[in-house]
Amino acid sequence: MKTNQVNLLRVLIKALILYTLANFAFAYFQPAVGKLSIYNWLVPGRERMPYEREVEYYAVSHTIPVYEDMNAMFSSHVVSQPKQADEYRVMLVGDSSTWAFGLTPKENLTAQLNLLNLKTCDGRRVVFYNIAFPLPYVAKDVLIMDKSREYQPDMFLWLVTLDAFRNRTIYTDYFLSPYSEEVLSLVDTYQLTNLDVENIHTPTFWEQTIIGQRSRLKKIVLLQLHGLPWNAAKLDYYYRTWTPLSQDQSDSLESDFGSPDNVNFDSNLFDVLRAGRGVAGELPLLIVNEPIFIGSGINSEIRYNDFYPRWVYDEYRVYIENLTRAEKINYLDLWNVVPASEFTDSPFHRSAAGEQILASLISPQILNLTCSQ
Amino acid sequence: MTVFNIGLLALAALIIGRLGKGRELALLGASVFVIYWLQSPQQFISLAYWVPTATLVLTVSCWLLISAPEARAWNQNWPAALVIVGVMLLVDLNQFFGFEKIYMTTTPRLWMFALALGVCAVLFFVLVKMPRPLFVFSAAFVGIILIFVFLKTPFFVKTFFEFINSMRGQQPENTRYIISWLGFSYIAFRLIHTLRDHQINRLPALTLAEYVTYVIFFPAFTAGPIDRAERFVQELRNPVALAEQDWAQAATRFFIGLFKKFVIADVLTLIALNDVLAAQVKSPAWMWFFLYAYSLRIYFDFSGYTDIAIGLARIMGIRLPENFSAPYLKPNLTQFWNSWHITLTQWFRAYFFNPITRALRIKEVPIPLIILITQISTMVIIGLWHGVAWGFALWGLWHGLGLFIQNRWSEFVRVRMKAPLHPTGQLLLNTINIFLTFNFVSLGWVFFTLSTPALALQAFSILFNL
Repeated sequence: MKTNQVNLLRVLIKALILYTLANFAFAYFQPAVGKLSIYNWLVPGRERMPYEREVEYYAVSHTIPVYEDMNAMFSSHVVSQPKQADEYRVMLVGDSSTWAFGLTPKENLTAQLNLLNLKTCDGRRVVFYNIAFPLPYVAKDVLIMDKSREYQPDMFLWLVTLDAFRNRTIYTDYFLSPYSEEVLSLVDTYQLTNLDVENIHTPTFWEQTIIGQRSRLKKIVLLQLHGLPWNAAKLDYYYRTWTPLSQDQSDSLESDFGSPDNVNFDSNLFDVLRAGRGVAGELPLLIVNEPIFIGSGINSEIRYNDFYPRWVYDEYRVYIENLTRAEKINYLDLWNVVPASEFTDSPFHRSAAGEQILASLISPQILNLTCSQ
Repeated sequence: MTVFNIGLLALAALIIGRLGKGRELALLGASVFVIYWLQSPQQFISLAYWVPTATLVLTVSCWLLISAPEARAWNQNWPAALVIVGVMLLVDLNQFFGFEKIYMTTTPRLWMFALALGVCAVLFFVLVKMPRPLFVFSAAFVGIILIFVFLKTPFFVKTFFEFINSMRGQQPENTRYIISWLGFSYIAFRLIHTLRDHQINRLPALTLAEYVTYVIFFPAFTAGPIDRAERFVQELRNPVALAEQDWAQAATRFFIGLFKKFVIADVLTLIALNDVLAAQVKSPAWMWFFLYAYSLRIYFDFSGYTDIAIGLARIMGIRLPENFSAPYLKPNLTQFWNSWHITLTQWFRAYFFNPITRALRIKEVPIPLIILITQISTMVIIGLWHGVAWGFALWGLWHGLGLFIQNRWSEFVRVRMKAPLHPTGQLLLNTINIFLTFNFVSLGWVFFTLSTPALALQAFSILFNL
């Protein structure tokens, strides 16, 4: 006679075997779990990459950064929607100022550019997408540009500032390590000798199992869940109060780029610009030196702001201008076009009015590039 | 509690369940350790040690009050006393062991521990020697309630901390003061139950080990169920031997609990109504969605913990009472409360609702008025048990009024109902009733979960598009 008795030990052993098999299968096939998304299906896509600086505000801003999985980042973004026949896609790449800290997705540079309703010479609508991730690090920008090629871009608009060219191991570990294969390929292809990839290693088999990937998988699930309150609240960022920047500066001449009589940009990440041009390939690439806050108070003859002494920033402008000219990269230096009153909590973060000014200055160049194709 | 904590508790339960002789003392020792181990950090660091110690002092004091002289005999209680003091001392000695992952290392200095032990010895001596007129039990009863009111009232806690700060010559800090006394709500229920049942001679004689284990039984310590002492002790004295099938049932219950709590409830937490969403969301449809998510979250969270507790206890051969019975599938509010946090409802029925009802009946108060008073007062007190705040009081009022209206409506229909409904009609009526009851309960959660009545009103205005 059959009984319904359950043998607990057998159940546990079977569960263990199944779980082990699932782990092996996961590591072997490496499914693109990040592409499974409720965005652009159950809820609309986000207008910028999911990001929030502080863990305690994830639930307030209904978001979670998933920098370990660009599939998840892009799948949650409106850019992963199918491209329209009459659409000309411009991808905005950059750091927190392009992502637009302190502004809603309806106020930032991307939105201001979209409001201009630009059309290419052949009549296509120019649609701008904000795929910036708030980290001042050009190596990360190139990686994102590379990934974004899957989403049919027609042009790249890359906003940079001197600070983003610093070679910082912490950022390498934070953002590049999960993409070891792609990063090492970029380093190899474009001979990025300055990029510190010492700590980047190809993940072991165990690191690719479900157990090894649990943190990434958890974040992907959480990103989907945040999609519901995000869609209901229409907020993707915790809007903090901020103190206006001081016009006065310190008298320090110090900089990470050497001393006034011995400036040194050679060991920094300027070679990444070349990689960016390579990743863009046949598509137009416009690099913009983004506006900075220029103080006018005490010591403003020594420093522009907290970040930049005048000597280093002036040298940088000359350096990048020469470099982009030599590499035949379209370049626009808009460092001083936004008045100091239009900066918010940092020398790079602009107000909506500041974004409007910037959009009006970038748009003619965009149109030129679309028509020259 | 984390999965890690629960995993270790399960391991402890497995070992204790296998013990023959010494099982009762091992269970006591584990329970005493757990109240220290799970106690969350406090604004005054040393409170993390003194709060669990206070739990033990309070529990032992109550035992001394309710136990007969023969039950207090030293020769049968010294092993339990030794275990309790031994665990307290071991925990205190962690300042020397330095096991930071197990417990804090900033425990009180040994002379303070010895002093506290001395004070307790004097207190216990007085309790043993003092006569026990009825008012002593009433005083103990009131004392427990006062501690409860103190802990749950932010104003009192703030005043207390400010007083301590001023004694230390420190400036008041601009922070929200909280005393987190892990499990006190449930301890209070168990203590009051034993004090009251002792008064009416319904409590069996309990040894120190039995009494303390009953009050702080580690699987049920933080979230119930609230067992009855006489039933619990019967199981403790005669643990059920586990057959293979029982192991499977216990493990299944335990794992279902883990799944409910750490998968379903924790996932729902992200989309459950809270202060942030109540302030941000403007769409009624979304607000209903988040409200329903909250209703499900609180159920899965709470019933998940109950399943874990029942599963763990079962592994040790002890059957805890059920606390939930598909509450959201009940066709009226009375049935909901008979299947939601069942042991709490039974406790309030036994120690508050029934005595008040009897008292009002003696005074010949009209029946509808008795129902109104008893339902509202019971539910408001249950609400305030969660914290002395307007939101909890309003939640209680909501349910009290709901129970009263449902009672009167049922009476109205019963008198006029000539014949039973056709089965299809009955099924339809039941479905509608379940829907209405679930929504009524869900709307009540608005008061419960949102921190201010203003926010609750805002949520209501969005829910009903007002």
